[in-house]
Amino acid sequence: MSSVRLPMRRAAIAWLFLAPALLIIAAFNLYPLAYAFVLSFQHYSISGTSWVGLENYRRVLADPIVHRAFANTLEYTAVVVTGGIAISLSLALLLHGRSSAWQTTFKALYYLPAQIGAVVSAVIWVYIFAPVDGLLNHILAALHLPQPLWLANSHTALPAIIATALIGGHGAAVILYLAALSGIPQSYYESARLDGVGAWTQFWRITFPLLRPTTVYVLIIGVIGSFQVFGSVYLMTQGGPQFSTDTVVYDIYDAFFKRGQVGSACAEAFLLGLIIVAVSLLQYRTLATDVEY
Amino acid sequence: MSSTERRARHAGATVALVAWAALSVFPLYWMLLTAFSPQADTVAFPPHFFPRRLTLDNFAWLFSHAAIGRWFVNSLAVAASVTAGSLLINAMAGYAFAKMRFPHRELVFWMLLSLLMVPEIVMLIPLYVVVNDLWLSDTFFVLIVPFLASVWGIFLIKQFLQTLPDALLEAARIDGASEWLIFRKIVLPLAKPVLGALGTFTFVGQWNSLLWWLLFTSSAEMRNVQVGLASLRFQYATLYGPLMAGALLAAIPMIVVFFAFQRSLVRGLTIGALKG
Repeated sequence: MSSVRLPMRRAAIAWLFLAPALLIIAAFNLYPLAYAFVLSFQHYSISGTSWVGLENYRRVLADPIVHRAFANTLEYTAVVVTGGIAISLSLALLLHGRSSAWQTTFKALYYLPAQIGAVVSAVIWVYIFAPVDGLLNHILAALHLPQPLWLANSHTALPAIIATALIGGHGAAVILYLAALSGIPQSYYESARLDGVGAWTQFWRITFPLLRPTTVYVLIIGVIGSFQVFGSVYLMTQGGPQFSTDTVVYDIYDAFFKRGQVGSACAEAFLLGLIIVAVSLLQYRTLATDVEY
Repeated sequence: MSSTERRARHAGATVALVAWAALSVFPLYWMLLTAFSPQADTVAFPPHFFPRRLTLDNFAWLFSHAAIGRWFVNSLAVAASVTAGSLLINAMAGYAFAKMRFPHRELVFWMLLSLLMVPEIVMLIPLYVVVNDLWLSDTFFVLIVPFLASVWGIFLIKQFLQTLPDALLEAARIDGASEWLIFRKIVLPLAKPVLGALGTFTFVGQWNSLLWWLLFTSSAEMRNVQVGLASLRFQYATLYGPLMAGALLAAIPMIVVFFAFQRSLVRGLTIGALKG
């Protein structure tokens, strides 16, 4: 009887297999998403909720602290993502062609700092950056160099947080680039060499274009993640000093959790979401091309 | 290129690789060293890069000043339940998307995928409001149930299952096996590589989770290791010995998972990226 299942029955079974996942996603992703949209047009408080139209968006867009948070987030994302791609691609190129024991060891060493988590890593960096007792300033003192306050100085705090992101966490991208590099046929380089093409030109004309799908992937994932940076900011600076490290997600957390501004927090979150969607689609449309070899 | 030049380049590349590895792993070494050093050594100038006196005082201090055991139990319980539950639920959905035919399949799948672009914080605020209204704050329910399905997990499993030949499943269907039986006896065993990879990522992500626990737990007993460690960082800002001991304890499970499941992690990364 069941050897040829009817399409209707087949579809019903499929929906049964999907049901648990779809119910959870509906309850904890779709519903909150819709509710956040509603809240962003409301003034929410325990005593009563009222519609305020675009007031929350107007307030968020006019708030200089929000401007600062978006500017900080853009700076963080631009440096961490492009710097990260440059570093991970360089490391992958240097590792490519080495023995598999070498590759495994170094992939592990580059991966570990991200594996231990943002909180652990931030707690260690707080200690290294500590103005008086920190290792960094101890080294600078031994070299008779000036010792900045790092996380307590509004000029050095954001660069310090960016540096910690750049130093740790390229393992995943290195692994992806190495996998992609091993897929490029050697014959391409052989014919290029026969034509007398130098290593630099080979990289820009052969390697880089063929790595494009990997670069696009690393770029999009990196941008989505970096736009939402929170853990390192929360632990290292709490957005300070003087909002110099206030990022968008930290600012939303602060607006919502500490100042109780539900509507504004939702409006700011939606603006962040819009930017992430726009940037992701833009990157995908301008950079993604099917590369086959 | 002459052979000396090639050798020089090779040596230069080695230096660069080793230098970057040293830089990125150094903070971990510094944490390890400090965790076992007496407080006086942690602030000594000039700094000691190698152990002089080793002590367990920092761990003793930590266990007498913080509910670190309880935080570990919380982290472990939630990470393990989420990993087990979400593997099953995501595998069921991934199987349906990969191997079953039903109306609007592509549309539903792409709608789910587009959710990957929505920042987590957008959904957190309304959830916080609802969770508080329902008195669910500070409960395991709100820490576990929302993560029992994940778009990323469904995507990863679908990508993997699509590569399995249909003939295998059709043969079982013709023999009269139910879809549930096929799923349990054929699909799940064959999906082991992707389940291992996804399980590892899920466990690591759950263990390192901060924002969610920060919002949805309030009592000290309901903290996870990350929120607990963060609370210590603000409460005892300059007690670097105990802080590094706490950081080390929080990091150990991740380091163990990393070395035990390294191959799964690498496989998960490449399934997600290359076939996506």
